[in-house]
Amino acid sequence: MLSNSSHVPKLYLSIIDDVIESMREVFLDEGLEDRVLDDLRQLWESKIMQSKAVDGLALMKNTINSSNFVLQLPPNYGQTFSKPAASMVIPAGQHVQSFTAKNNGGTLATFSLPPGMTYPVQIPAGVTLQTASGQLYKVNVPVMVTQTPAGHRHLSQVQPRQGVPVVEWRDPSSASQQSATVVPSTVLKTMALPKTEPFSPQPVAPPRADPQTTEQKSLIPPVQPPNEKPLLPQPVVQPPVQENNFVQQPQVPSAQATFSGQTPVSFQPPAQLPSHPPESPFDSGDFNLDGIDFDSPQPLDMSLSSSSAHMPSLQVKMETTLSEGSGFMGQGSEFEAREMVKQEDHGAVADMTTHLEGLPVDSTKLEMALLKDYNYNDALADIIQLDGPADSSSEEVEELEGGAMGENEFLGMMTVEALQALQEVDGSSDDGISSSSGDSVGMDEITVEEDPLNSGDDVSEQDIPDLFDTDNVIVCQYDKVCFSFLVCQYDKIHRSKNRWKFYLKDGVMCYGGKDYVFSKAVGEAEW
Amino acid sequence: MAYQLYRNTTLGNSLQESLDELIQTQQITPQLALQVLLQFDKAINTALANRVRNRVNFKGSLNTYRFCDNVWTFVLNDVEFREVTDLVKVDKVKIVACDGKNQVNDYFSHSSLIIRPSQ
Repeated sequence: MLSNSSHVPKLYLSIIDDVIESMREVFLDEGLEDRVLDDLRQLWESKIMQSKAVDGLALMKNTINSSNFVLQLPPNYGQTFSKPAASMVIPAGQHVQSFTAKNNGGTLATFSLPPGMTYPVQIPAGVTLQTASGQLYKVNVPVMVTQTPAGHRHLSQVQPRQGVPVVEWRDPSSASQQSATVVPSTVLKTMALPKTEPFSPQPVAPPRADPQTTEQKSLIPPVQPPNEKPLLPQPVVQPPVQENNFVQQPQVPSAQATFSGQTPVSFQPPAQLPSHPPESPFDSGDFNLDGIDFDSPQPLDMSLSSSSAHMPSLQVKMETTLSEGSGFMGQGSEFEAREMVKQEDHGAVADMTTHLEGLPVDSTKLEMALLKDYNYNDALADIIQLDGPADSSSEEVEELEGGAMGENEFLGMMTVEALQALQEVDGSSDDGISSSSGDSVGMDEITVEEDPLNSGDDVSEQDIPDLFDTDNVIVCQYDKVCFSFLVCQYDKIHRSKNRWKFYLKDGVMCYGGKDYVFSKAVGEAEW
Repeated sequence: MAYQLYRNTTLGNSLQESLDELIQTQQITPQLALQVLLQFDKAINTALANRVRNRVNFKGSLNTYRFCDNVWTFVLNDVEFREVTDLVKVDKVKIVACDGKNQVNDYFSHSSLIIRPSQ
């Protein structure tokens, strides 16, 4: 569907833009940084692209958000590195793209990232990056530019845990800000990193007329707590770098001096680099970027087991409390139990929020599910039901809870009650419930009568549960090709004998693994 | 309030998954995620109403139909979707349709599975 497939990516992007922009203020009100919203956008777009349900989304995005950056080779690039400077291999995810750059001493080698380039992009060390505005940033260590959610206007917020210099990146042409996180290879962690300190974006911003429209790159010292003075040398937290950092310190003031908003900023003389131990694999030209775990979930995982153990206990505690309330203490405690449940309901969200802060990672999802389950299944189960199937025998129900009976017994009674109510047995219900022995007898009677009652129901129900039990949502996740799903609104549904006519509007369809949209759809089918 | 019908589409699901990830990493609260979803509902309803202008015809055989809470659910077999340009055939399609005339009722308003923001 040519016309549709060209509309869909644009439409989706416009919807994404709408949502993200309208949530920007709300996010800020919540005290969240912009980068969280950008994270969300990145995740959202990447998932859509992964699903391949939309053709050309990536292409459309890149057209809109094309980013160019210019690489300038330092004059003595050839001296410092054994790697031939003529070509720089920049692996980008699965794609390996090589760029040849003119390397004639001090000449500027420029190239721009092709639009199809995907992150992560690895940039070897010694490369100077020049933004579109002309500002130069030198990359002292081989870095990998990844498009991760961590990028942020204020570099202070972007600090990864592992001592990674972060490059912040602004698209020249779009309002939406992509952020790239530059991650040095683990191999190179021993190399000097903090040369990049003065490149924090805050000092960068003033010299630049319009930070949003120009591309800015800034290298953040690794693992920097947010609000330190950007221009001062900042101690590197990462242990292996300590000694190197120490070496670097005296260099920084000179760098700082040069960094006064003037375009050529190159504060690490390449001569410094050979001072580092050559045994590092760095010199071999093998830019290995393994093991860079930017937002390592490890610290979160460690407490997962404890937190997940914590949550079931929360639920169990509530259940037992309620059961005690309902079973043993009669009406008074029933209300208490109800109030507890209500409080739990009202406090659920607040509790969840506070609880979430304490519990990391998957436990939050579990807890949400738990809370939902608790609220809507267990709470209802634990609260004495006075309506529904127990309607006609509500009096008996109240009597029962007055007695000293456990919850299980009570529910057993309720089942009997429900069955009896369904069968509209008038006199026997009063008799059969007063004593427990009577109950069991009643239950037997009911059970016997139940079978012929229900057996007639089974036949007609066989097809439909199976049909709707295909659980289409799950199927579509595994096999998009075969599964089709259409959500829309209906203007009119018409039937004449067994001929059905559908007049639908504003629909989103997924069939053949692809997404389609329509404003109107007309269909007919025979049943 | 706009229909929450479109949350179970590629766009909606990917948004929900992204929000779930952010919740897991504690970058946002579930409340905020809900707000985002509500905003998404509005945005997609508006976009579909205003920014889409194409027409599709389809024909097939009706396997089942259901009308509950003003929501039609159909399962069709051997369906041909026809747009001006071309034709797509599918073996089975499930159609979920909310009332287009009256948007007051939410698709999920009765199920109360969604924690509403307390405003």
